[in-house]
Parts: sequence; structure tokens; C-alpha cells
Amino acid sequence: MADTIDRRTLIGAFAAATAILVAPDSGWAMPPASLEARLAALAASEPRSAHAIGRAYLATHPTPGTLRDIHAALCARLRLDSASRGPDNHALADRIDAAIRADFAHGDTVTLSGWVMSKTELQLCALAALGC
Amino acid sequence: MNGFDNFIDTRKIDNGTRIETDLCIIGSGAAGITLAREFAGSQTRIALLETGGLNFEADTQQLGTIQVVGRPYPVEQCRLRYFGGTTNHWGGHCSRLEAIDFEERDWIPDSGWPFGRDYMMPFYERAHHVIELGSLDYDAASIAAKLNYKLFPFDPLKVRTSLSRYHAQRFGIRYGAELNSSGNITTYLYATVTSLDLDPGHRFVSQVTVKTLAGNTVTVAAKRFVVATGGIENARLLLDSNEAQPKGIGNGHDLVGRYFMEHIAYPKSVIRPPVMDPAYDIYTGERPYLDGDPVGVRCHLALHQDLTRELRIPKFRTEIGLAKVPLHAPFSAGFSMDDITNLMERAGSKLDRVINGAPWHPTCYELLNYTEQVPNPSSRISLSTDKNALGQHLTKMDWRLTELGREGIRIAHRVIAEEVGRSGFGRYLGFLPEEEERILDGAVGGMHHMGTTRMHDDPRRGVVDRNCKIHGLENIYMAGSSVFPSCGWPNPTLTITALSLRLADHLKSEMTFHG
Repeated sequence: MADTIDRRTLIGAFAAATAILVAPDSGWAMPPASLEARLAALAASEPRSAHAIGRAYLATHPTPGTLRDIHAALCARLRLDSASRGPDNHALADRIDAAIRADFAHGDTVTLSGWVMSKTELQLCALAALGC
Repeated sequence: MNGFDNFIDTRKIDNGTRIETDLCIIGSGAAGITLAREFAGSQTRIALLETGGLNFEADTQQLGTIQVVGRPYPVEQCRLRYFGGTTNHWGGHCSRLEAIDFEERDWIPDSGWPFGRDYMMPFYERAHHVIELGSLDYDAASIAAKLNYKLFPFDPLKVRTSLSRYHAQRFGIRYGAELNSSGNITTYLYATVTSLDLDPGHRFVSQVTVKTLAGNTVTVAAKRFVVATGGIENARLLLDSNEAQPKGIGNGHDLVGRYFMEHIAYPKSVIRPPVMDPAYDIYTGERPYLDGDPVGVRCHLALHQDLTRELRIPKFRTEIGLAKVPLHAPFSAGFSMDDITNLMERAGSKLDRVINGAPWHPTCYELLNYTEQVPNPSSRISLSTDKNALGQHLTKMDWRLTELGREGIRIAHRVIAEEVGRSGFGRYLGFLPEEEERILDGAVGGMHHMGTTRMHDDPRRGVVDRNCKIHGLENIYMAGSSVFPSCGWPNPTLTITALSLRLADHLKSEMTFHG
């Protein structure tokens, strides 16, 4: 529809605005977000939801349970260099979506309270729950 | 009802009267009326016997009392005993059996029909006219597009959309006047057949004994008989006709009443998409096929038959309903459905909804699962020691499911859950218990009673042959879903009607050659 904003455009604009805010030469300069933090932020649209699901996942699946281990596992799933900042938010979100779909396609899922969820999305939530 | 002045009230016939006819059809439901109509205006004299009157009456209904001894089953009024039979409260749901349903599947014991689906197609087409279902068009994609709906974005080779057509044809109301005015068909109301009586040589049925609640008894002699009293009563009548053969008619191999099947119904899962889109409403209720047309269409989800073969499970279908699960109530693990929704979204999407005004309903799709029962000889209809007001033994129902049925359900749910996630459509929440034996706790049947006089060319494996004639007897046929050897998931009435048309063709042909 011509009079509406495409979701992807909106997310892109949102990410761009965030990038301006965190840019070193902006008036709002903040330290660059780590890859872990960016992954955790992309887990869900509401941080509280990512935390709640992440806590539930960690309670029933304690291994890997450290932030470093989960980050490493996620980077392997998403084919990311864990030492890098990774691609921009748009590309990162696409890569996460693809990994989640691949999990479902290959049965790489976990059932939590009856919900069938992908391991990738649960590990993202676990990152968020661990304080990223 | 008006226009039924030629129907005969059997209660008013003199006790001991003997009626002679060419073809005696017992039962006036979808099967019996369809069969009778095929002979309308012909030289063949038809006696159509109906246990009830033109409307529901409690004392007649009680003649079909069922005692449940197996898993729970809501038997109250699951069959209706009056003219038109159970079509009087039928929902009108029609779909055809798939090719796989006719096949002998090595992982489904005792599956397979003596013929295939292609052979049945002309009869399905004719059955469409009887039920007034419109064209034989079941193409979900084109029909949904024509009606401006869209299909769930699932891989159709895994979870496909099946389309059903709906027309709640009340056979008695629709075709009663036609039967009434037909010169060769006589409909007898309040005529309960209590036994099929064999000739002294036990080669054929010579007559049926008919009793009424008024106390009179008549007999009907015919060249041929068709029993069309429903999937439960068909078996009871054969078993209870045990004067000449103690195990009942057609029961030389102890098959009558066994293999009682149902469609297993249970709502134990939901799908939560990020947004409920009304474009999918063709799944959640019947929609008019054409403006002003009484025929409805509705989509369902089914596992593709090739995947079903690959997984070696029974057939699986689920109907889709709308449910309202509270968004913010936490599940046992401490998160809520709202949290799941947020999981499927990225930053900005809620702002997107605010800007674009996308709908936000606190609902999800409920899966009203509806699966094939594996044929099981231990699942059976038999006779109680108690009797009804006419001295017939009551029916005893022992409905039993199998381990394969339960395992198939768990696998099918897994396929759907993964396809829902893979497609990006949403997330699946299942309520199936962990313990295998408890998976179907609370499951009910779809009021579809099948398999109790199953069809097979081998008399050791079937009560009737491919022409629906009882093995070993010359002139008695079974009509209705009791002849289904396996049932797939389609609701049975369309196939019942198609098989009745086929039986009519066979009987006409036989009458031509043998009189």
C-alpha cells in the first residue's frame, strides 16, 4: 500500500537512528555496542519478553549456560566471527531470521512449556537473560 | 411435514401382514434415500423401512440406546431415528477420500479397499448432485483466490491446505416428497426391523421381521435387501439376527461389529502468528462459495499424502478455529503468549503497527485435530444382554484406539509445529501430554461410525464383498459407512452417498440379468 511504511524500511530507519545515536562523532556518543548486545537486542521486540523466555530456557537447558558459551554457539549458528561487530543490524536480523527458519526446517527445536521454538531464538533470549 | 400422504404408518397395518416387494431398503438416511431415489419411476417395487416417524420422538430414539464399555463416547443422539436419519442434524461437511485412503498401506494393518479412488470419481460427481454441493471443485488455491482469501504459507508437500464443501442436505425434507410421489416406492414409517430371517438352507434372506411400538408385527419379503441403518445399527441388526446362525448373519469369521472406527477429534494445540490476518478467515469458518449460494467452503490443514507415506503414520487433518488465549497470563515456565509474539518481532514492528494501523487481536488459531483411526479388531460393536422395548438386544460399544494412532498424532503435530516456524507464520503451542498413553485423553469421535461390516474380497477379512453383498449370502447388501475398510480423515457422508449410487448401479445390473 502506497500510504503505509514498509516494515523493513521502518526497521532500517530504526536501526539507522540507533546508529546515529551511538556514532562516535555524534553529540550522543556512546561506546559501540558489542556483538553480544546487538544479538540480545534482536532477540525480541520487547526486552522483557526475551528475558522471560531466556530464563525459562536456561532453567531447563543449563548447558551451554555461560554468556561466552552461548555467544560462541550463536556465532557458529549464524556464521559470525565472534570477535567482530558483525554485519549491520538489517543484515544481522535477516541472518537470524534465516537461522531460525533453518532450525525449524531441520527439527533443531526445543519445546518449552508446550511452545515449539528454534534453538537459535532461544539462545538469543538466553543472551538477553544473562545480561547482554 | 406435508406431502407425505403416501407414506404408510406401520403401526396401523394389521398384525401378521406379509408385504411383498422387489427391493427392501432398511433405513432412510443418506444411504437409504439415495438408493431408493435411483429406482424412482422404475418397474422395481421398493419398500423403504424407517424405524421412526417424520420427526424426533423420544421413545423411538430409545430403541437405539448404546451401552458404552470402552473409552468414553457421547452416544446421546449421535444417531437420529426418524425419516432422513442422521442427516437431520448433519453439518453438511463434505470431502472426498484421497487416493492413499483406498490403498493397502503396510504400516496400517487391515487397510485398503478393493478398488481405488479413480474408480470412485464418477460416483463422487453424482453424489455432488444428490447433496447439491455444486461443482466437483476442491482446488483450495483457486477457490480461496476467487473469494479474496489467502492460504497459509506452508510448504504444500508437507502441510497442505485441503478444501471441504458444505451443504447440510436434509435428505428426508429434500427428497421426501419425491419418494412420496414415486409410484413404485413405498415408505413405511415406525417400521423397526428386528431380524433378518434366512431361508432354511441359509443361502439368502427370505424376509425381515418388522415390529412397532404399537405392538403389531409384520413381515417384508423381497428378492433383495439392503441394510442402511448406520455404522452402529448395521452391525447390531446382523448380530441380533441370530436365530438361524447363532453368531449372527454374515458373521462366520467373527468380523461383524469389529473394526469399529471413528475420526479422532481433540483440540490440543494452537498457532500464534504475530498478527491475526482476516485474509485467512477461509480457514476459520464456512464461507459462501458464491453470493447467495447455500454451499459453503472452508479450508483445513492436512499432512500431504506423500509425507504421510514417508512417515508411515495414519492420515491427519486439523480444522482451524479461533481461540482467545490470554496474552499476558504466564505459562508454567514464566513467560506469556505476548512474550512469544514479541519473540517473532523485531524492534520497530510495534511502531509499525501504530503507524500503519495493522490489526491486533488477542487471539490465536486453535487446531481442532481430526485424524484417521487405525482399523482395530478389538474396537467393536457387540450385543448387550439388555433389551429394548421391541426385544432387540441393546448395542454395546467398546471403542478402542491403537498405539500407532497415538504415535502418528505426535509425529503429525511435530511436522505442523516445525512448518509453522519454518514458514515464518508463527509459533505452535501443543498441549499433548508427555505420556504416550495419555495423548488422547479426552479425545472424542466425530459421530462417524465406520468399519463394522467392512469390505474385502476375502470373506476371512471382510463382511461384504466389493459389491457390498454379504459374503456367503445371495441377496443381502450393506450400505453406509459400515463397509469402509479404512477411513482416512474425510467426513463420510459424501462417500456414503457415492457408494449408494454405486450399489444402485450394481443392483440394477443384477436385476437386469437375474430378475
